[in-house]
Amino acid sequence: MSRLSDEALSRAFSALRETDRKRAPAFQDLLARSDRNGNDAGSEQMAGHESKLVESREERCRAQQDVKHLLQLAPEARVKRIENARTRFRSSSFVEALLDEARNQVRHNAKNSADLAALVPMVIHRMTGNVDTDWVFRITCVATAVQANALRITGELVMADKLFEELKKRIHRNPSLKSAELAETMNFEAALRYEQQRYDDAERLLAQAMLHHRLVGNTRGLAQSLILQGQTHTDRGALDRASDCYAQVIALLEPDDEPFLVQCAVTGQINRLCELQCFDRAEELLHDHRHLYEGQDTYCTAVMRGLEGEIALGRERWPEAKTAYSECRDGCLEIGRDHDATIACLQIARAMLEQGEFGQVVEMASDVLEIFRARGTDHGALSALILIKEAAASRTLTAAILDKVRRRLESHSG
Amino acid sequence: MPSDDSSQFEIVSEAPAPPLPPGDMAHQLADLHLDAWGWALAVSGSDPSEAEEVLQIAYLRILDGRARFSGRSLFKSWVFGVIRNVARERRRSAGPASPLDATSPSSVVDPGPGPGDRLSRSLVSSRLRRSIARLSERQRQILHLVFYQEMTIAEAAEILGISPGSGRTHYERGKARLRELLEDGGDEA
Repeated sequence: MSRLSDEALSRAFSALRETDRKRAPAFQDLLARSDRNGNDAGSEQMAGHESKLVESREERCRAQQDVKHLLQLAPEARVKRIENARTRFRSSSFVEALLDEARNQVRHNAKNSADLAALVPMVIHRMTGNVDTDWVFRITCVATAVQANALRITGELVMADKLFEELKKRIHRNPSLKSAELAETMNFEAALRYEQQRYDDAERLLAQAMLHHRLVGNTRGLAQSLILQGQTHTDRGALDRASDCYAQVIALLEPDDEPFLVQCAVTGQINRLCELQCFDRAEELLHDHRHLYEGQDTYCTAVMRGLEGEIALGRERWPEAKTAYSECRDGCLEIGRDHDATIACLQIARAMLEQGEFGQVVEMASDVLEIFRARGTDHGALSALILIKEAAASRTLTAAILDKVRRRLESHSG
Repeated sequence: MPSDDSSQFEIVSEAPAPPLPPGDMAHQLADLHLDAWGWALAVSGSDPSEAEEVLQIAYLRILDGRARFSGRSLFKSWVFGVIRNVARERRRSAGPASPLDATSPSSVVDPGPGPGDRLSRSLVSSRLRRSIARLSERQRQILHLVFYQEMTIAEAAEILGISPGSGRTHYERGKARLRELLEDGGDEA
């Protein structure tokens, strides 16, 4: 018993406290929820709020069921279903569930996310007519931002840009958005500005978003902004600053709570560490976080193998780099990520080149070209492979050429 | 065994002290929020969604004046008392829970084997949570207040509505039991 002193117990409880605090809901969010539960019911009797909280929980469950039902329908059928319903699809809980689902869908089905977010104004109009309350204004603004973000991901940058410009005018005229909502809209707009390579705008928006996230204690949102800031710094060549951003995210989040965001930050950090020639730290970081990649989908495995390949290349362990990057390429080809597969091919070619295996480079490039031609892959990827195939065949392929091709491919990845 | 149902804390004071203006009250609550969250988790079986409900209801009661601070105790102790009462009321209204439900925190996740400081920290935290869940309610709460909230035993006893002597007994027994459980890996009964 003497092994566990009071001091050791204190330390253990202190670690627990640290973990719990990261999961704490924001104070203002709890109060805001209470406010709305009261306002929705139209009652001024605060004493009735507790039972309303229970009711609203049941309503939330019903709303989630309604959203699930809509998801089974085609987008046009969803609109009709909502229009034809007499009492269903009319609650504030339904609007929030719809918006939450739009947020959830964005990673895997951005088109669906945009369609769901676009339903929000229609549902609100059916609920309230033309009454423009504070809540209506705020939730409509957030829905517009969610829709614009989803459109950005589907590649409709012009439409996304237009929605953000309109949104900014609305927010300017009616500055009633709360910190959490402002942070979310700013983060989404920053992602668009990053993609448009308007880095100054992206950084300004991210700085503001992070301020709001910190104000309301939204660790998850803060991590999202930091990851985007890391990408912006990377594109601007500020590798140290990018690395700092990723390190902050890794320290901020528990991998068990936010595996996806931690994985994004770890991937970014390992790539930056490799670029900064810090291979020991990169290898250690990957070792500590392998569980986030293993047993996931094909893409996760491909990313992990790519990171292993990058570290092996840096360490001049050529056969290992070749194997890891080959598995990365195969994974990317399997799921149709031809651009990433091409980058992997260039890295494999690099490892082969270091071992004087020009013939193997030609063979590999020919194999992948055949697949790309059959699929109708874009011109950039095809050109890159044709170029390295011909250079390898004439034994003029060099590391400098490979770097140049890779940079060009990466700059056209948007 | 004496029942702990009779709270020694006023929810509505009979002779109300001048209430803090709502803005001040909200500020004070905001300052206490992270500590209150930890306490809400402790009195809700480490279930985050239940802890959120408990905290939300407690804040409502405080801000709409149904729970009033009489100034006889520290503000923090009083807020913790309100949170504890809300959690207890909710447990009662939910009907008898099985012992397993009451002691199985839903948030305990075994992170699995793996190297690195961060992972070992997760492992320690989840083992500690498992072990704490096996203590009696009183022991669990007094250890939380002393070690997690860094309160004195007397302050903790005040929140739990028991005498300082009784508080010390629960504290010592809880500590001894927790050490046993932690040394067994937290899984043994």
